[in-house]
Amino acid sequence: MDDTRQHDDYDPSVPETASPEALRPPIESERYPLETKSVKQSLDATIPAGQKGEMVTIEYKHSIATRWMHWINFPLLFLMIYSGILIYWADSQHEGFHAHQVYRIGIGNWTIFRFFPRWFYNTFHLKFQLAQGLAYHFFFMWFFALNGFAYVGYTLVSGEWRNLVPTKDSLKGAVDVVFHDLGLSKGPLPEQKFNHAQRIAYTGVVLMGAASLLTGLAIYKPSQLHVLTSLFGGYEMARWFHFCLTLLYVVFFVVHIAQVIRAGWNNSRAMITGYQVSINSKQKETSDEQSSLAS
Amino acid sequence: MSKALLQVKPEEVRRQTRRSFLIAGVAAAAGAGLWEWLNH
Repeated sequence: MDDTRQHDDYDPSVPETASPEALRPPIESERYPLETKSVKQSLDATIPAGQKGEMVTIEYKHSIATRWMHWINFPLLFLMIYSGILIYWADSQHEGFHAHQVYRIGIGNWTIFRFFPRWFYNTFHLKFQLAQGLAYHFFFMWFFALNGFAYVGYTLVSGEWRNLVPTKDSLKGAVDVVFHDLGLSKGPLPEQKFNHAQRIAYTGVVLMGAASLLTGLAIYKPSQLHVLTSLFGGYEMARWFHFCLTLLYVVFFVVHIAQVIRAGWNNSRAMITGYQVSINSKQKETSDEQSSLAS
Repeated sequence: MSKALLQVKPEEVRRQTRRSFLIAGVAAAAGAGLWEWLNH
């Protein structure tokens, strides 16, 4: 009955025009209905006019896939580094009894720092656990690799790579970011999801992951994968690359944590909930509070 | 990803944060369980 009535109401002489509601761009809760369901429910609730000033503006920053893969990668990378050190200790001339050279920083016979000093192994109880280190490393490496492949695949399919891959302006932009973060430049940075320094760092760490995988395979199966091992300059060079990449992960981690702390809770919360309270909204909140205090 | 903005109450932000931490806690507990199982 209802269908018939609608059909009868149709007048071909009246030009069809889309309603303003149909023409408006989809809002976030419509683009990502599953991930924003609870927020949408909240929006659907009637908000009394007197409470509208209490609203804050939030923006969707990190998808649920990105967040899960980010947090899964954290313990995996930790375990890979930990187990790698267990293996490394047993394979180093300094602490163990193997023929491999211990990596160090120095000039000639003068050593500034040795990877790693005795106190390091003793403090963290890293000695005499080669079998356990190998077991952990060869077990978790598959999950580390799978998570990495999943992340790269996701960024390609979702188009998120456009926010992450450096552009031709990234090198200069990264220098601007460093000056800005060190307080040497007061000018505002261009507004974008990831600044140029982040683009370089986040793309770089993915490439490091790929390099770790390849150098790891080169020293895991140097006979079967001898072509790969040769490409890295032989077993010892592949091992050296693998070790240096580990140190770079640690450097990345330290800088990353420092920047997360510096950026504040609103930024880091986005990697947990997916949403970030809009900066303009926060400024407005502050401004409103100051106005009310002044009045 | 769209840069569209949403208007929500501050309570909703806090609720989402609590919910996410709860899920993170469950995931961490599951991870700890897997670790124990692996080392058993």
